[in-house]
Amino acid sequence: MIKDLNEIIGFIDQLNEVNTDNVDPLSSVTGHDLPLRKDKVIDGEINDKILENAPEKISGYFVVPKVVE
Amino acid sequence: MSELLTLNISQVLEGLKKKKFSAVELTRSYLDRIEETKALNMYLEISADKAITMAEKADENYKNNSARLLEGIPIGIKDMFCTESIKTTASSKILENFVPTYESTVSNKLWEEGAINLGKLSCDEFAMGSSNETAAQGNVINPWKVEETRSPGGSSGGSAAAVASKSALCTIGTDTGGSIRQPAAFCGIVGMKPTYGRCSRWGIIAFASSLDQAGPLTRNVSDSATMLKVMAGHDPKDSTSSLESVPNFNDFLDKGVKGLKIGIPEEYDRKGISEEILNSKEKVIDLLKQNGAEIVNVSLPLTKYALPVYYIVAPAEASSNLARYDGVRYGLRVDGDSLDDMYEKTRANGFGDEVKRRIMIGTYVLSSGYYDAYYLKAQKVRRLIKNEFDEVFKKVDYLLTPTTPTTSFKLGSTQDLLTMYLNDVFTVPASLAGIPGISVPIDLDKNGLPIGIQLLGKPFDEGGVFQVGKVIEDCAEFNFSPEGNFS
Repeated sequence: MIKDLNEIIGFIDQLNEVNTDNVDPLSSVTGHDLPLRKDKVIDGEINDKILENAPEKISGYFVVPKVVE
Repeated sequence: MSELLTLNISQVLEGLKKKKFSAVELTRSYLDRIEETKALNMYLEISADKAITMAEKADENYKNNSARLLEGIPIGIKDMFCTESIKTTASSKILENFVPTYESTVSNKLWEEGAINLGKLSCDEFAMGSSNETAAQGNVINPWKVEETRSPGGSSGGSAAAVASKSALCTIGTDTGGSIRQPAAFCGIVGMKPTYGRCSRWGIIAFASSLDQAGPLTRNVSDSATMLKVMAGHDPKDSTSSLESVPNFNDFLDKGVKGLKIGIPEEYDRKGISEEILNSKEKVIDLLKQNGAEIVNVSLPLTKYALPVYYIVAPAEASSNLARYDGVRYGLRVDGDSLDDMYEKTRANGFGDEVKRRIMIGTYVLSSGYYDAYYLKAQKVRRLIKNEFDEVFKKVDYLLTPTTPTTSFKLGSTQDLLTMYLNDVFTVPASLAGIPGISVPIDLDKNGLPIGIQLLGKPFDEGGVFQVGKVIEDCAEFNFSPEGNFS
């Protein structure tokens, strides 16, 4: 695994050959601004559905190992 | 094998309309075929009962003359799409028991147009891979030269192999760096990756959100156009999905290539590419010329940097997206002494090696000391690559390249990681630029394995990509199917 990771890092290091002075980073190719929607509830009352796949649940809550001593 | 299985989408729709056969008969033929081809390990989940119920409904609709666009079409779904009440694992152990309580937008659109759900198809784990070998449930076997146990390609290997072996009429997949186009080439079928934003990503298990796109895998270009028409469109639940109107892609199919400028990027003739693939590309170029297209040699000098950009951006986004698999809300949980211990054990146990590699690379390139040197740098080079495509598309209408450097390789034969990554060298640039691309089968190599060619177009010009793709398909006359005993 360490060998693989080093190999990948070596591979991506090639990018240093490219001059990127004054280039803006590109994080999205959509070209449109993110749309806004009305701030209202579009669904809800689905507590049971959300918990359906939970590995452990009690009375409508997800259960995790104790975090406070 | 039933004759019904040889029909493409338009033939099936006509047959159903004229009541030559019923949707139930057709669906049963496919379910039987799925049993026959079980040894190829394509389906993770077969939804036989549901499929028959859906087929009965389709037959009813044909009786009432209220048939919809895909009424009665049996489809297989890559296991990256959440399907309500049907187990969805992304071919990962960490989701081995996950049963979604909702349906992805794209698959839902198919059912709303009357398509029939045959089941869920294997892929590389979380769509990370180019051979289908990273699937937790074991690799899919390419139906071509089945006795040689070759890779169907990846990540949508199950989706491509199912179409090639006639175990689905068509399938859907996802493409982040080539995951539809490369397996389509390896399996001798048509694979289309639409423009980024064309199809909603809602309900698709996220890998790299700025690159992921859904698309169809089909027997021919016309079927691909029919499928994409149904799959595409704006979805308020995916803020990156486009408001662009969706044309009737089938209207483009008979327009020919007369007067169109098709660019051949010189950088795609790189070392290590199979001589036979280059030769078949030349044949396609000649045929396009004969049909009136103008061939223009072009240069995209940054092409070689696309893969290193991809192997920063995709793992970075993956490491963030996959943080959600922590054993708390869904999926696998491995108990531990504390919360942290539980997280660690769950993730160590649930993810395969390739996914772990990418999470670690992604976390590394996003870490505060290296963010500028890797992640930001990659995003800058990504902009330069996109600019290069924008410029070249001022000179030409389309770009023609091989889909893959080689034809299908034997399973287990590619041990070296970077060699495996090079499979996507021709498909990744279009993913980074967000432009549409199709792979069309054009020939068989001397070993009898399919060769695909890739055609790229401007953003939202899928119609034109289908148009040229259809001419390539008609000229190439690729009428081969894998033969052999799959059971």
